[in-house]
Amino acid sequence: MNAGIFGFCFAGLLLATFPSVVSAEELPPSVLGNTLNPTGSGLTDRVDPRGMTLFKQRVSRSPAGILYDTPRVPSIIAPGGWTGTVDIGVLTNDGPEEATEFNEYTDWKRSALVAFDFFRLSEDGRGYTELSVGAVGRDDQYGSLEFGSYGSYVINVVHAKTPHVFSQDASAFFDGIGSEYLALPPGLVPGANSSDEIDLALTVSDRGTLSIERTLNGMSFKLTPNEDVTLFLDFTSERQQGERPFGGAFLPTFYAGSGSGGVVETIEPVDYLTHSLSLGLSAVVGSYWLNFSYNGSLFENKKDSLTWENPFTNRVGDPFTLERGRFALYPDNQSHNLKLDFARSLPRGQFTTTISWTSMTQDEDLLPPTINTGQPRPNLDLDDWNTLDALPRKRADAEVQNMLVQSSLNMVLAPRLTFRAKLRYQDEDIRTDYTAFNPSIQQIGYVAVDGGFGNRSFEPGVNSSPFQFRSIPFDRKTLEMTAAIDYRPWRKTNLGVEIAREEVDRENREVSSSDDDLIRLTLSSRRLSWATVNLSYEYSQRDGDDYDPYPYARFFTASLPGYQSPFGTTPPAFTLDAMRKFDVADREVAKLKARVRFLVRDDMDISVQLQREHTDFEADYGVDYNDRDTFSVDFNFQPSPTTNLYAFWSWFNRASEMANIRDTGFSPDLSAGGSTYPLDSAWRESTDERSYAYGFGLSLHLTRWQFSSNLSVSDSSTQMDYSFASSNALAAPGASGNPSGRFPDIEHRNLQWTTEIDWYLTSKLTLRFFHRLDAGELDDWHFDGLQERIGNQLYLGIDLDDYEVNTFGVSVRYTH
Amino acid sequence: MSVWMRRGSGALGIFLVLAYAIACTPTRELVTKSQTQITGDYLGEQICMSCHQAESSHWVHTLHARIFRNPRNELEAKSCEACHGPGSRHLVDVNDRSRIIAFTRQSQTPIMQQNNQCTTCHAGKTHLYWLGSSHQLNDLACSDCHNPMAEFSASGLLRTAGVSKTCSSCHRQEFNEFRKRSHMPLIEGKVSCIDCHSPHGSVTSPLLAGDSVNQVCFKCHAEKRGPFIWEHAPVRDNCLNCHEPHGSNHDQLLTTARPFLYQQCHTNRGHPNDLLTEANLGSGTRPDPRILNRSCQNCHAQIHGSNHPSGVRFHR
Repeated sequence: MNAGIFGFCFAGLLLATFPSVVSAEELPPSVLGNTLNPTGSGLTDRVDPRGMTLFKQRVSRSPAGILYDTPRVPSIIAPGGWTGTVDIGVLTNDGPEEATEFNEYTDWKRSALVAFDFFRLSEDGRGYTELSVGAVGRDDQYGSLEFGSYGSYVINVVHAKTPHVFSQDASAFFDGIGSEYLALPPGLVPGANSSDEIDLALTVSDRGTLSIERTLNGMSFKLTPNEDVTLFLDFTSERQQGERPFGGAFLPTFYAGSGSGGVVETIEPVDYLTHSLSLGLSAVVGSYWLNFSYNGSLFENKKDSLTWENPFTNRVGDPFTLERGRFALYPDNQSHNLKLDFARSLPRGQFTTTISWTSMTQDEDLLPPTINTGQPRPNLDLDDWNTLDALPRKRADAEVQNMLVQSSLNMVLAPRLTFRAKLRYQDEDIRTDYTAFNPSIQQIGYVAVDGGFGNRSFEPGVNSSPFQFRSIPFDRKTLEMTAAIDYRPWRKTNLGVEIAREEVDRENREVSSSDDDLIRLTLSSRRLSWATVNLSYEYSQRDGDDYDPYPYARFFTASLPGYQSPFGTTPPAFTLDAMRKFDVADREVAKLKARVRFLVRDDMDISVQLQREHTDFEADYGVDYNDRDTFSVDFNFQPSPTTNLYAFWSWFNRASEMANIRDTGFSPDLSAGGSTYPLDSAWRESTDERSYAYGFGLSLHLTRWQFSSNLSVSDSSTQMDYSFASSNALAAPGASGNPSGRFPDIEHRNLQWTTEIDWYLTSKLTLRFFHRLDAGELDDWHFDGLQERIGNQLYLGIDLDDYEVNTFGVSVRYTH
Repeated sequence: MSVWMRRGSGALGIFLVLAYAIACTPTRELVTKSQTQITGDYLGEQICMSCHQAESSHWVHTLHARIFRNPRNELEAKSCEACHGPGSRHLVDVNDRSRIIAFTRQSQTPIMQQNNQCTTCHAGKTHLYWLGSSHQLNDLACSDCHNPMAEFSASGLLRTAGVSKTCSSCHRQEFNEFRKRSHMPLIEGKVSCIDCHSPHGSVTSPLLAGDSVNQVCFKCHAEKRGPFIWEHAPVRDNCLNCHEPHGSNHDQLLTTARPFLYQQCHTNRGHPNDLLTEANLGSGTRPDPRILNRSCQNCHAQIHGSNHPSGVRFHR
């Protein structure tokens, strides 16, 4: 940390003369709900026909002009009393069970519907107990038990289940799905099967569901010894279990000859356990505010690796049989964060400082470089590499530290003039340093795809293309400075001008240092009686140092003594020098946002939102530009406390273009138009994506009935076009027919129409009828003609299902 | 770090110290104080309830009311007038909106003062960064999102039944993103906006509930936190380099379709820069795993980073 930054931090600490609170980002979940009660709100939903007040004929608006909801009929709870609601019913639907999207995050299987709320106030009115439970099916459920004393303490215990379905019709080709070892079905042998033998096994294999279920249990404790101090402790434990589609490669089939290579879509076993702890305190002492917190997260993956047997022949005629591959799955890791927020309220404003330090570590036992035995190449004996002795160290010893220091000052210069300044410094320090070195044979390198592809051992004096042998620390330091003036020319109107500069220093990236300068103009006004207006425009420009297309040289073997290139001392081209990676490249961004809420009548408003964002990279190769435009209109009508009608329509468009050049030569020449990247191999791709969303809703609350109906439709289409200088740009020149220049559109349509009728049998008993129509369509060219086996490629054969499902429910709700 | 950066940070540090000193000087014109102070006598809740029976019937069941029933200080004991100010002048002319602190569009009370009424008790904690936040700069009032007069939501005394519904009143476009093909399970009630955003202000733009985008994502996706022995630079930098935060028309909330997502950055010599066309689809004449199904990730499966000694290119 240099002197300037140190001075800044010191200034922050100096000003933080102590006393005060915590910012503690709360642990998930922030909502306990399910598909039928997504807000997790109470079950008592009879609307009070009086509205909020007897003095107004119309519903009140918030200061920004939003019509307030009508409150529900209040429950009368005296000290010592209780209230409760139980809702029990059944759900059924006529849908295809394999419709993945329909079941993606819920459990619509024909089953019971259960919901339960209970609230009790203690005799002295200070204490309370609250219980809330809801379930759709077995997997989409939540529960919460809370008790405490008002203004003193709260103890909360939560439980939540979330399903995530990836496919309900995936091929169960392998034996051992869900375990760390996927074995070929009986009759097949690893690494040597004919296509017919594999097809025969596929025809008799089952199909099944791939899904993950998250089960979260947690508790939180909040103690407020006095109104100025709060102590808190949150703990959650989340288990994720299931399976999901995963990759798997040997010799890439596009490099292999006919009948060779192997790409296998495997199934990853998921068995995660994450413990999270957050504790700290918040305090207010006079004009001082302080937050201090510790946030820890311990992640454990009970499945360390995934091994799968290779159904294919890696190289026809090769005496070496490639039997299996092995993944290292996500390693156990932990994160610890300490955070201090300090603020002081000043006579003219407020000063705030945050200091946050995070350490993320991972020290998993490493696997040997390969699981296989044998000799795929004359100079590669896998027995030298399939042992832990082939590792330079046995554990990962990986660490990232992150430091954030931010200070800001808000100051009133004059009654209508406010000044803001902010200084933010963030330092991400990657401390991992791993070298792929086999000490047993004193060789730098590794085994590519378990022996299936080439040789990745460095041999001094032998011509070779360089390869990465050492981990790359992508350290990053960011300094952001902001200054802004806000001026109120009139009452209820605010004008703002903000300028900011963000300077980023990166280690081992294509742009080592860049400046991002920004200006932002804002206007917000409630001055007009008939509208609320929010406008903003910002323009930013990122300029960086000279772009280095190959900043990783010292982590590649070309940097080692004795490296010999086919071209003498110069290694072959690594990449195209004109390619610009969009995350670090120079760019200009212009953003316009407008949000206007028209208060058409006392009981009606129309809200219009417009956003245009243009990002221009001006790159010859890489992303050229990226535009995003959105427009939406909302209509809301509340003629009485018991009636609400709304509608919305929105449009989203994204357009972008990118370019690339296929390498067709082998030389040290990095330039566009050179021998490696000739211009007749150049190509461009453009994306034009349009999405619409629209819907309406009506709710009507009568004396004995309540009716609501809500429709929402989403319709998205992505058009992808391409052009190319010549057939040399194509993956398979001469074998690709006559490309049309356009992919089939990726299209997704989704409709949900929910209707509910509540019939109030008595003041306490309600009979509820529920119907929901779900319909969906999905077309995506990634899955066009995707069979379970295509040459030496094996897939799970997941189909994209269209669906139309009617779900019916009936329940009885009793409220005490 | 550049000379400019060193000098700039040092200068701004010094500036902040000076500005701090200036800000400490007393002044008669303070924005943090009421511009239309309500004066008068406190009347007590019973007087209020004599007219506002309907309001009271809703309010008495809220968290505020229950805390005020067991007051910890003088202010809480004032019940209705703790928020609305002394009511005696309001009683003289109930139609004059300037005589009472109110929290609606029709109110004569400036937003700053409305919000100050709330922060009298709700100071600090997550509100530390309210000043200067985008919501504050857009002149939002606490009562634009909260309605403490009745119990609409399970927690937080929100204006509607839940967090996401409240946010969607203004952020309709973002809300609609959750209806797309791949999306976070928000409309299914499994996450809400505040799992990722801190609406009261934050140290990270856009009002993120964490020090960085990735630290927000890691709260639910701890497995991707690593660190790994082989890191993928844009992944370590920012998840949003490849993923949309709310929803996408592509698989896995990706910003665009694979393999073009990867080809935006990669043109390494070998196979990454070949133009794949519809001829390479499963229905085409030359099916190619680089464009089918998971595309590049059919082989480079560990794209978020690998912990395998041979996982340099994320194959293992």
